[in-house]
Amino acid sequence: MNTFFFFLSVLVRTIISDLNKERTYVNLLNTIPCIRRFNSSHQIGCGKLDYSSYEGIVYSVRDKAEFGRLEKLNKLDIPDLVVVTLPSYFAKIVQLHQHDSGNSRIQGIVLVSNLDYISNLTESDLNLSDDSTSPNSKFSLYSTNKTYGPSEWNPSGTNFMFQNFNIPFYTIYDLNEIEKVIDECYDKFNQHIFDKYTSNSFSIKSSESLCGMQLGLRMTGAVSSTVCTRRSNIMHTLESSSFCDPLGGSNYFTFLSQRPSNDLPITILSARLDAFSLYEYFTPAANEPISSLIGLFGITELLAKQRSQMNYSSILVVLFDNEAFDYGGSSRFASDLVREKFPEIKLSFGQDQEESFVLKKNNITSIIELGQLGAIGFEQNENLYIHRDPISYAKEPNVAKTIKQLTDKLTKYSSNIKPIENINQQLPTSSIHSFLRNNILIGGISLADFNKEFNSKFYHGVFDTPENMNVTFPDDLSEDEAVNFTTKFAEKLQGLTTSIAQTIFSLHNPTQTELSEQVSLSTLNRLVYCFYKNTTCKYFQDMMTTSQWKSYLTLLEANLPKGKLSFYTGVDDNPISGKWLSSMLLRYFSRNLDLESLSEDDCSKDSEKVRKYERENHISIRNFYYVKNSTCVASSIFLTSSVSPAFDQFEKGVLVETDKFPAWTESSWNGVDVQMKIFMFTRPSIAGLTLSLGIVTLVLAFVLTFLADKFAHRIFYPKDAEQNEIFD
Amino acid sequence: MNLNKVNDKEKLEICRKYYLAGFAFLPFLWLVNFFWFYKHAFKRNEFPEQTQMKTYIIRSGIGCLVWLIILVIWNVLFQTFRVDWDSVGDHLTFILPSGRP
Repeated sequence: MNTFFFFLSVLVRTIISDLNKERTYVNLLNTIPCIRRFNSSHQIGCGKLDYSSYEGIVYSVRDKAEFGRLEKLNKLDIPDLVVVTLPSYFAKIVQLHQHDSGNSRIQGIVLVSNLDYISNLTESDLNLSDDSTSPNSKFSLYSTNKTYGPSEWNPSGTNFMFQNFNIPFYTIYDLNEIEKVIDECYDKFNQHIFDKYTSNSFSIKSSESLCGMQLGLRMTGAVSSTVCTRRSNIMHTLESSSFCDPLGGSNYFTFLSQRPSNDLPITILSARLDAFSLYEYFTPAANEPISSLIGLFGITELLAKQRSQMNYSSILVVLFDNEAFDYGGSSRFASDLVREKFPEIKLSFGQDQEESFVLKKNNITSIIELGQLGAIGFEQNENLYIHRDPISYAKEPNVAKTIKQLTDKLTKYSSNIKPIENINQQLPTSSIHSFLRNNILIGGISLADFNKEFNSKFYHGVFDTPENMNVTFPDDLSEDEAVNFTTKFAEKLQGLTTSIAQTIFSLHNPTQTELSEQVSLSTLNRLVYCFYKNTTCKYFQDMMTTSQWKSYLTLLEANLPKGKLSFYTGVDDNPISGKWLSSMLLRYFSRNLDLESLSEDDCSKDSEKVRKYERENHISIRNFYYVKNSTCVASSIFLTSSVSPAFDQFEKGVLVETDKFPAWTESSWNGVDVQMKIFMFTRPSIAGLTLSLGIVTLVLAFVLTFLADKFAHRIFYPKDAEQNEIFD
Repeated sequence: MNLNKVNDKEKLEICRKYYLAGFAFLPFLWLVNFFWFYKHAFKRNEFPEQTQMKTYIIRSGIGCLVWLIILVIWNVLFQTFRVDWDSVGDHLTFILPSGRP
């Protein structure tokens, strides 16, 4: 019975305490934190060590006057503040906090990142690129060789990503949540109190109640990848704990030829797959990497149609992942090739017995990388520039020969593709660095919309949106109309990518066959609409099976506000929506067209029709699925890890060759420790009253207990017992 | 065990066992020994085993004190230099700190 009452009381208490918690705090949804990351020697990101939550009065900065007041308030002895800011003031507030670091009253910064909430913003109002001015420079070809310049490709870089802040940063995108914080919290309760601020003093009366915010940010990793990797592998108790995880997922690749082969010269066509911003998962990534991915898919679709004519060379299409963090993915790809550890591929050729194929570095002759292409969306920008490494170009005749050949062809096929003017200019941020650093001396060119510095001011930033590439759609279009709407970007991209496709196609082809088709404008239009305007468009849906579509929708909703794609690098076991979608698109566009009209029943590896086709053409196809637009997608996509080789001995708790390979990790954390909540600070008068009542109740309880104890024999003594005693 | 029900000879035997067992890196046994038999060794009227018992008790006390000093010094050293010791420090740590160096 006692046990029953005990459980009942625990149950009641749990219910009541939950209710109290809910009454006190309002949890904000879809808030995105800046988290902690490490390289081999340093820690970057947000939050103090061993500090779990940060509280302060909500203060909003929306104009110059509010920022000016914050500058003055920050010098006064006032309660802590959590500053909610529009993009225009974000960098200034960060600098203000850093300047007054020891005495700053700022306990957290929340960036409002939904441009629909903010009207009349100019480009200069937005906080720019979170990356450094020289992205990935530590692992570039010129990290030790300063002869070649310039290196500051990204003049808009704030370098916020690579600093260590002692307060949390969050961003809110959801309009409802922004309204909760600014309209219902700040404007309603706090603004009139801050408005009373005079240049002399600021005080809060005991009768005033203020709206506050709590930012939870408790990370388990600390110091550096070296330390947290070691700690993750020390197990003193039965409970294992993870402190950090290596960044990286998978590089995807496919051959656009009849079969994978080491007998023919191989040309790599590549693009990057990932990006970052200061806030985890929040990567609009319109220019980097989506613009290059759209170009790559257009070329892939066109070249896949020429598969039967690819008899002189192999084209390897590669999507390099984990490139944003010092080329982790391409380092892995290149180092696997050099060490002859490239994963084996099983090929069946329609037979029961399988053959194995391992990609070798010797036959790879050239690499063409698509970099940022977004600026061509603007009227005045027509050109793509051919970037290459000046060191290997000068020293290696083979490299120079290949690059010259590529350049000649590209400039022949398009007058808008131009070599860079300064022959000693560094190769910009590009996967080609990894190949050359690993001594795979191939002719590599990177095609991008800039010459001397990025056109995009939002490289790896939260405002790398399609609007900054002039990609907009008229409001009055229906979905069917919008999906076929031709933007300037798509229009120019068609011409440029067709020239690139033509170059690749004719590179090793002695007959110099001209392509009879262009890259499909309709495909580019659809990709532009679906990537930039509607990530759940019908066109994407038609490319997937029902279960694939469900998985995609789940991934879309996993970490970000509805419909937002993420291209964040992420950790190995965590699929990221944008990267997953890109791998599906690569499957779709590289499909074998001879098999696309197969019926649903025949669209299978085991179908006799497929086996016969494989035997006759001596090819091997890996994946089959039948999608909604009644197409059999028969393609062979392979994947290799994109985790940096520095983690090859991660299980042993050590990092290897950290001078040669990047070692980026992400701190682990517990979901409940990373939350944003608003609440009402208790008025000092109410707090005083509550305390007094508590003390009175405590004293009363003691007195009552004492009295009850003293008169216990009267209160608790059973009457029967008393009577029995009398009769006894 | 109620010491009042045990005769002095047995008490000495128990005290000796605790004293000897303490050498197996068990300073807590010495501490228990010291407090348990202190009254019998120093506060009671004399009895034949008392001298021997006093020796055990004093030695247990000293041993315990030495251990205490060593542990305090080690604790201060460990807390101060754990981070500087890097890998060694981490391997010596039983519960690894979360979110801290």
